[in-house]
Amino acid sequence: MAAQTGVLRRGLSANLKAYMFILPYLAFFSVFILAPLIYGFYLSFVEWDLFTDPEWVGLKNYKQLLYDDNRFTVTAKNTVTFVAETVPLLIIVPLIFALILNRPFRGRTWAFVAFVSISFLPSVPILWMWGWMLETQSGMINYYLDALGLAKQAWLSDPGKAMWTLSLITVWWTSGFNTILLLAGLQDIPSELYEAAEVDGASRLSRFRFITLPLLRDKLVLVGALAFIGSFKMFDQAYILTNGGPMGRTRTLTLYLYDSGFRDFRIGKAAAISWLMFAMMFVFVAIYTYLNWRGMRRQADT
Amino acid sequence: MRKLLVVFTLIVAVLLAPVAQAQGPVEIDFLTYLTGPDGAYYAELVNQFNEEQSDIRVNFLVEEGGADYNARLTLAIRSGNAPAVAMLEIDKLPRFIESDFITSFTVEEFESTFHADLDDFVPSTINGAMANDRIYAVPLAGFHAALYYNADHFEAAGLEGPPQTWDEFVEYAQALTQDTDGDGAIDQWGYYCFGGWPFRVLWQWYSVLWGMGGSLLNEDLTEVAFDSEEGVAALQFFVDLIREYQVCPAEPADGEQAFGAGQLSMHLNGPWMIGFFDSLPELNWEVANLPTWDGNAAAWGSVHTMTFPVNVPEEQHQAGLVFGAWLADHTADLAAAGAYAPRYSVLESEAHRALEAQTIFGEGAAEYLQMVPPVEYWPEAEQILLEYFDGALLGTISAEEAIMGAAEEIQYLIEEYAD
Repeated sequence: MAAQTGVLRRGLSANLKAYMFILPYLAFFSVFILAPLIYGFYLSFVEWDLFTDPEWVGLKNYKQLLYDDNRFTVTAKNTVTFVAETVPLLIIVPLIFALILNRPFRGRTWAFVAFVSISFLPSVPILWMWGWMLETQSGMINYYLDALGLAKQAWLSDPGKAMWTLSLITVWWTSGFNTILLLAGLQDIPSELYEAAEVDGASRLSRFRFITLPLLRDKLVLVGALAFIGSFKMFDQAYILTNGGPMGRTRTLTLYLYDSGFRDFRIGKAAAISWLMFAMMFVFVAIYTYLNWRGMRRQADT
Repeated sequence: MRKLLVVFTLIVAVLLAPVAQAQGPVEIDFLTYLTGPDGAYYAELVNQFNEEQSDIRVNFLVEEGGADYNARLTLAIRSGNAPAVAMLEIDKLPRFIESDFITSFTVEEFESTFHADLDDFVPSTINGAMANDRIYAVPLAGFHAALYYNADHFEAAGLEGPPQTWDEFVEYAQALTQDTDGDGAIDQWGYYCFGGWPFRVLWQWYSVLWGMGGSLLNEDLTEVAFDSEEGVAALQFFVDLIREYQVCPAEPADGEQAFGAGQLSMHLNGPWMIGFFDSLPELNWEVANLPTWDGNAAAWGSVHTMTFPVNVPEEQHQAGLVFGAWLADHTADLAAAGAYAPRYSVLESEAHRALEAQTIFGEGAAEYLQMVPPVEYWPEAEQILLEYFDGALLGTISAEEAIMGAAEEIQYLIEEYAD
């Protein structure tokens, strides 16, 4: 009995110590993540303009967004368009960079810095700079196009071009981080596999297809998921470069959420948008995880 | 013993600290959104106030204007951390008035606190600050859209003086739009219809709409009224400048920079640009009130006002009123910041008349200045207008489609807020 009590006490003491270690993070998590999450969920069921007290309206905000608010539908389509344009590029372009950087060559370190460092720069100066360069009349890019005898382009004001422009800027700006992840993955692949394949007469393409891609799969899945989440919640580019224009063609869900809450003082609607975004991302992640799991099982079976 | 002495000293210091603090000047915050060159003038005035007396110390605070500013001020008032004095644009007052978030005065209280006769204020600058026979804000400086023009371009084109009517404006723009270096591309434009600060698209449309006799909402603010002949015609006017008369680029371009660089002959903007244009020695610019439409003068504008939020400790609130009265007495000094005084006595003073450009604005105030409807949803309505107007100016939809589309959405908005 005394021995059991002793064991129990030691167990409790060990657990207590463990909890004491994670207490600071738990406190931070509760105050800055959990509490706002719960409060935000409550706010999605009220109408509140910050001036008066919140008024409970049940599912009204959700119903309006899903059935009556044409802008929400258009904004969701814009967001999906942006995701569809950027995610494939945010996998392919970093993969190309990583493949280049994985081979030794003179100046490789400088190339690494050049490819990667941009993604660690803050958004505001980067996007302001692009805004100046893309100005239709006096921007640098159109200046050189004009000098080459080509037509000036309305990069940010043509409804058919603006979203593509934001997508390409995003890929240029954020590929660096994905490059690091994929480069680390490439460097984990044993070189003996490539040597053996080369001995067996496999072409470069075959080596890439049957060695590099399968062994890089986990990293590619991770990069894809991160790219999706980052693109889905895009805000800076739309806010700074186009403010959602022209004609609302670059207004994304996060920008709509911001406008609803801080410009229009519709806090309940903004909270409801955030929870609908969460639901959409949850569905995606669930499908993505299932497909990934199925793919891994198929690979394990073969 | 030594430890006891240290502890005793600490306790006494903590107990005496509030007393020591109370003996110093009362510190108050004056919150503004003046991120432009005009902010520096206000900062100087605040310094002057602080130097002239020692009972009150004013901290001059600047935050980015727009939606964020109003939201932050609202939250500050609700949480009891409001500044004693806060600047607000007059068309942003309705929400604050309706929620009793700012102090109000009777006419007698207003006149005695701020040493001002209500009749001295230009009516368009004070009416928006009043509700239910009470006054909620002190107009500090007015501004409205006017026409800046490049005097050198005018002289070279043989044009005398600014255009008096919008028809004349078109003729002037045609004469001024030129390929000056003979390379086949236009490098001097008469006007820019869109680009840069997006709200200029609305300011110009409002001005022409009102000049044509149109209005934005009906009298009781329950229905859209711009879905009219005047509404369509006002937008079509600017579409025609691009497509028919070709005196504006077909793509958006920033007029402020282009005018400053001498690439643009006429530019619509407010008095806050005076300082910037003055700083460009090669730019020979003038300013005039906007052209008229059939003799009707109208220009979009607004007023910087000074308000006194509630939920502020009484001592700070009283100090805020003292500072507010001082600032109201120095309205003439504020004109140098790039707006005009909203008071007749100041407009007619020598000091104000010495400011040539501000005087032109000021002379136009009574006749030209019109403001957007004082309704809380107007910022949201403006975003809807901007989206549709983008389409019309880019040629994607017609002016009529743009007006009708915007009207339908804004009517829905009105009904939503009415529920």
